[in-house]
Amino acid sequence: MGKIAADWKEIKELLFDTHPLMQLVMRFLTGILAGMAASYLAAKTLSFLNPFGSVETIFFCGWLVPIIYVIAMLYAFWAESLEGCWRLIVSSLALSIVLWGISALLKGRGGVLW
Amino acid sequence: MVKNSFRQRLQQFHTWGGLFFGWILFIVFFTGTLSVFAPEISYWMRPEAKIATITHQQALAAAQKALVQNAPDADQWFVVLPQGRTKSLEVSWQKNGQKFEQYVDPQTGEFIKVRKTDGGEFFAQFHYNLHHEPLGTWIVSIAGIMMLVALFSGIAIRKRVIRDFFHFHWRKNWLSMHTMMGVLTIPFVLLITYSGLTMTFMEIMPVSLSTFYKNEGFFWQDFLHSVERPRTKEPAMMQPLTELLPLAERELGSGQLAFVQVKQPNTKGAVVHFMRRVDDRMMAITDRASFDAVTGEWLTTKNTWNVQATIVRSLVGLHIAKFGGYPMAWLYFILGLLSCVMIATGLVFFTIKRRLLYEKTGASGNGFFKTAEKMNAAVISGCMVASVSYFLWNRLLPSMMPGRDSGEIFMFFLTWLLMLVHAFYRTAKRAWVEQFFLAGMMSYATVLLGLGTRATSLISAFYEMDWMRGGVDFSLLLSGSVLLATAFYLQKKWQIFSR
Repeated sequence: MGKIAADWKEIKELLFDTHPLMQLVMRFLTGILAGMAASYLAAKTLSFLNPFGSVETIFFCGWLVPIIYVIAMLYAFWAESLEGCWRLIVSSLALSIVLWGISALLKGRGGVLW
Repeated sequence: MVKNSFRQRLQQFHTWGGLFFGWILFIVFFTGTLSVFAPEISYWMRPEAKIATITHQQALAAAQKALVQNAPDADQWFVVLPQGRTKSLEVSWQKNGQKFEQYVDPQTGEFIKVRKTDGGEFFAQFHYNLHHEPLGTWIVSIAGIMMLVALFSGIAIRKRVIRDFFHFHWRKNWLSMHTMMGVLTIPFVLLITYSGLTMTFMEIMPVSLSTFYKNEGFFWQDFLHSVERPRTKEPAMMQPLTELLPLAERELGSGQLAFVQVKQPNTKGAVVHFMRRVDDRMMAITDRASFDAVTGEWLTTKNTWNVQATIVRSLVGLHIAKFGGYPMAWLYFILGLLSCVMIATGLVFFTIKRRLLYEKTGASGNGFFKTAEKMNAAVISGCMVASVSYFLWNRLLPSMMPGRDSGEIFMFFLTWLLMLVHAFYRTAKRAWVEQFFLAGMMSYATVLLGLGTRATSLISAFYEMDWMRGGVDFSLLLSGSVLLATAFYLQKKWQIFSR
């Protein structure tokens, strides 16, 4: 366990805390991934909540998703440390997978849960 | 470990994100700007498809005659009526998943032999999918996100310059030109990028759509309240579409129709949808009236839309700029060109500034900026040469050559590739001058080649008062002059060929 922790620390330093150029590249990559994860999660959650009916919810997600993506990208440059961004990515992905799994089980026209 | 402030990080984003995504964004903005005049470019590239002014009754009668003769057992017919900036009568049909397109002579109902070309639609599609779906659409979408963040970061890091802009303290240097252009085009760039993203994200990330529907077709059926009937092969005599036209016009407005779609033609299940034009309003969605094509019975009219659909389709309308006629098209074109200048000046003058700085201090990294300068030329002037070559090859390739539409596109990419090789083979300064010169000469050559036939001649366009075709020729001459003037200006400034 001790070795894994030490290795992880090394990888973390290499990815997040080394050369300024590396930090910048990582922020770009993190921003792109965070945007994907956050916007996917938002669209999936809204589809579950289905606030306006299927067609209107699809259009609602249409104009909302790019805004969420931009906010996630800005967050990747606003955050002091990229660790916070990675937490966002991992948690968004995990929640998205859960929602995707539920929706796959309950799939039907005109709404998923309601 | 060095910790930067948020402003410093935004500065880094603007600098490096601007450089790498700037290349893609220039291509997207330049080809998108050209696609504002896609109908005119298509008309110029298919001179044989031009028809005299006719009524919708005449057009529809001719279209139905042509389709009955040539595609009686198709799964679906589609007619694009001459309307607004569309000056031809186009029919298409689908059979067993294959799509066919033809242009029709409204006097005889016969097909016209028209050169195969993607016309202005090539630029319209290329600017959002880079001719490679879905990867290209993803790249353009991420570049669009970067553009919006670059806009915010630009405002954050250049507060003083923006203040100076509004106090008319305009500085006369090239990097300020980038900032000034940026300030001038902020609303346009924000609008065009965000509205573009709402379109591409619905395509590349259809999370919500795939949650509710099996495929996009079902979504559109639901949204448009489209009448769908079970497939049948039982033959039936259809009503003449011209007899249903007045009924459809009563629903959608006299003289306002633009498209007609017939599903399962010449069968018992035939349904005809008449669709309204979209070029006279901001919201890009066609109102439609549907009829039973056999009995002529009215089935449904869909001309009201809910809030979210109205928001998104209005954003689409704001992006594609079909409303407002030529004044709006020219406004979009000019603002698009200014946005291109903003991106290009940002790319060019940042790399020059950095290279000089590295040269002065003797630090490593100089080579990277030299390469970036060549890349700037390959992307900016290379894209212009390739675009002009697309027009030139339309006039050079034989009219009835098989696969000439793919040939034009192939020559577009081949020319661009040659410009890339040229930019890396020459010095950056030589590459700029030579490529601008080449683009200018090719613009003139395109117009000159057109003089060879009456259908493509600029002189006959003016004689026939065909302003749509003459306008494209004239724009080619004008842009050719600007490109040549730029080449001569740069040559005079840099004295490349006197050494």
